Amino acid sequence: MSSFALGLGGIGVMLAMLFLRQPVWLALGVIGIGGNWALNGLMASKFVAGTTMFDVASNYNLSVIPLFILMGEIATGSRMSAELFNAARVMLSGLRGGLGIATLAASGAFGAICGSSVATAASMTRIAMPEMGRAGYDTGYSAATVAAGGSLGILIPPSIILVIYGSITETSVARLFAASMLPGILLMLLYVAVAMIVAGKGGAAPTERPASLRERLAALRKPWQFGLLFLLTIGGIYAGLFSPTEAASIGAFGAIVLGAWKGGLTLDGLVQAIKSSVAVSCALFMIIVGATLFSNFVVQTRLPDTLLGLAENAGMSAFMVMTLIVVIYIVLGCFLEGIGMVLITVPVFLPIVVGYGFDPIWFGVLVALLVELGLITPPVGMNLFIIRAQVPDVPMKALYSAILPFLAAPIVLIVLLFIAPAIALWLPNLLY
Amino acid sequence: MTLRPAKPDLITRAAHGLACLSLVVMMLTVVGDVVLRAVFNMPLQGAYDIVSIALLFMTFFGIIPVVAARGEILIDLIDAVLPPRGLQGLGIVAALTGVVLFAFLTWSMIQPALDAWQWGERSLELGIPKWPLWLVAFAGLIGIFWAYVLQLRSAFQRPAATPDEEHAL
Amino acid sequence: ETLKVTTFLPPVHTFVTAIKEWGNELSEKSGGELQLEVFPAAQLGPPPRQFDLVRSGGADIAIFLHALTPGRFPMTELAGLPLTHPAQGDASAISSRRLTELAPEYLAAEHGGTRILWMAVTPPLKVNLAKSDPSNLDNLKGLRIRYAGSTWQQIIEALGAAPVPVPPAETADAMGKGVVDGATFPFEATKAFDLGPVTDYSMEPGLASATFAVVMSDAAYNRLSPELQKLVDETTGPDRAAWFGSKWDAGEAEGRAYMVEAGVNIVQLDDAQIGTLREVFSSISDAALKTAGDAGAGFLSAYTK
Ligand code: NA
Ligand code: NA
Repeated sequence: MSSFALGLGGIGVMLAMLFLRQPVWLALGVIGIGGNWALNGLMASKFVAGTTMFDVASNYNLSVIPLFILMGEIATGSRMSAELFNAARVMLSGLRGGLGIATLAASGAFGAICGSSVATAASMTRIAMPEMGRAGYDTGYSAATVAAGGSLGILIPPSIILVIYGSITETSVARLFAASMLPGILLMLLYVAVAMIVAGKGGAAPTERPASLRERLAALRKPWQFGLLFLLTIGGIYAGLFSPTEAASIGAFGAIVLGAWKGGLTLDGLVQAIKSSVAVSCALFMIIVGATLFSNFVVQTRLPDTLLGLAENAGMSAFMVMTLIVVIYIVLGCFLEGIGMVLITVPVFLPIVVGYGFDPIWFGVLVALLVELGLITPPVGMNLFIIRAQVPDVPMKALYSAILPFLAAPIVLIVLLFIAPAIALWLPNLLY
Repeated sequence: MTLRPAKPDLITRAAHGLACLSLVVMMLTVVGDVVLRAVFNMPLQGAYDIVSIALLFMTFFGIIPVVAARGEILIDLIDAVLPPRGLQGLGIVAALTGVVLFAFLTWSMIQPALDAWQWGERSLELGIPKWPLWLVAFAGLIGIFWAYVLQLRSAFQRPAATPDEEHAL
Repeated sequence: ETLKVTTFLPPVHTFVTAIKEWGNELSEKSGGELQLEVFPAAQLGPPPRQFDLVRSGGADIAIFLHALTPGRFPMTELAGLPLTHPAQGDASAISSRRLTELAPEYLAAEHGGTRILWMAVTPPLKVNLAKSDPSNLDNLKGLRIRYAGSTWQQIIEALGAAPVPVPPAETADAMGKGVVDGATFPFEATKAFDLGPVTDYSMEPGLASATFAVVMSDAAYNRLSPELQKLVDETTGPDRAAWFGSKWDAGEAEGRAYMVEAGVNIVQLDDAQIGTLREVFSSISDAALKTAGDAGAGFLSAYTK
């Protein structure tokens, strides 16, 4: 059997395992080890299996994951996130679908201190879903805004995906963060546009009483801790006080100090936040171990290269090849988890993309955006599962159909990035 | 995120506690390093190594409560179609597959651990020997097997619950 | 026959393009029978595992950096000691050829399970400084200097400065903002990572080199037909090492021109200063020689001859 066929077969079996309710890390790990065995024999497969978990678990760069999650947990547990959401709610009252827009705005702000989409979506679900339920919003619409908003966590810096992209490609993470800032804000605005259009079509969202100017100003003052935390983490990175990796620790520590000082964070609340950060990040680390094993196998089957080779043989232009790369990412994003997708594809595509004269920083932003799209595309969309897990009465089908209009936003942004690369490159060139 | 109401067993709680402690050490090490460097121009020697080692502790011991609580991330599309019996069966298959995969990982890890001992591998910054870290990993693996015993018992007792927040994360 | 090549180096690195060039040559001379398939950017395993990946059969050929596994290659590490290079000069073409010539006798044992195709020694890394003039070596005291690898850690400490690990891609920012006061890089890398605008002074000569090896697993070699084995033997070894080393030297010269262009003041140490440094560094060399064992002294004198 050719390695190409082995690769396709492996992906097929993995999808079957996922559908049959096998844990994601198991499906990835079993196929990764089995596939490597089939390609290279037991010895090689054993070597990879024996070192991957140890190496992932002691990889300094991955320390940002539990720490960013901890920061989000603290912000949620200590009223900080609730105050942020409330401010957005009051500011946007009077608009149809105002709470949905508020969710998106609050998610964007939360994403500015948190590097993980999983953490962003998880905490916004807890804060925004009950509020919207009480105000009479359609559940599918509410869930879709939370899922879409949560995905902003990895495009608006800081971002775990960009840290990993930076380490693979030897590009500056600080530059990547600067580059993804404007696209992140733009994507949030595009999501808002979608939310307003969907709400305007009737039924999904009621209109709220507009708040007075005084109420608006009063609400705006509340989430100052959030502003401070943002200044501390992002400001510290740009001032060169600490690296983006270290920013996760500084942010988590800052959140604890602020929460204890002003946000009503109790010792018990802190302990619970640490415990659940460990549980969530270890569940993610298991997936990263599985994804590393899986991508080690898939990369050797040369799936992306083969597809690309077919395209190049067909005499496709640079523009068409880039389009094909985007399409490959979108299709992979329907089935794969984000970090694994980056590991498999970036080393293959980067030389081609750079060869066509595109900037690797720009490509990093594009990849983060495509990973983000993958978080909300059916059938395998991490953000959709997070909501489903926390609000089990949303039928999966309703979630899938409610998210569809929101997919337009990242796709429009991808087109914009191609038309005007400066959206990504202007800020880093200005700063550095 | 809330924890399960039922109190886990002693081993699971101890492992979870150790993992939490490691996370705190990680955070404080970086904060200490940054502050020392910014205020006193005196970086903390070995911060990089300490963070990597704490992360190793956190991961190998933090997986124990995840496995014990059946908290691995999974996709529950099939729940709408399958009767509880079927779901229970899939849960048992998952637990058994997990045991087999971890057994394979553990067996595979013996050789690299021996290599680390034999070749005298050392950490990058402080030059600490690496083999004791492999012992930490094996201690964690023993705990993970214990967690799988608990998961199997739970899988035989009841069908997989619709995942709550912790379960699905 | 297709041989899998693994490396942690990024796809655009000189070494990766050079390996592909060698691969084309193999393919041409074997009438397409022997091909190389390159997996860059640590796709098959993390940087410190590249050598073991080949020993286990996960790949057939590895390009790897010895400094990533401290303690594993004590003899090879001697070639990376401060102010250590063949008497003929510190250019990569010279030192890579010399190290490859000595490999069968001295280095094969610690590369067990593999055949050394060739060794590659970088042009020595220079100390590049944001503001401080190194004509007086005392000016280095108390500075924070970016480094990688334990030999450089010891060198920087011996100079009275503080070693700080910074990822290569972050170094320009770190130097620009004063997070570090200097960085150890060959000129090729100062160009690649655009250090010119943030550097006022660079110090010559470079103080110490890093060593790479290109190895092929015994299993992969034995799998080849005698003709293909002969082809591999003929296209590797000391000549290939010098061929590759001269690519590095060309890149180094280009990088130096870039630094001069950027207005960097390149300070030459005089013989007296180099003599002082040799004394300062002697304890580092003594310790490394002790670790390397009995054959160490013989190897070192053959290398520096
Ligand atoms: Na973010
Ligand atoms: Na998806």
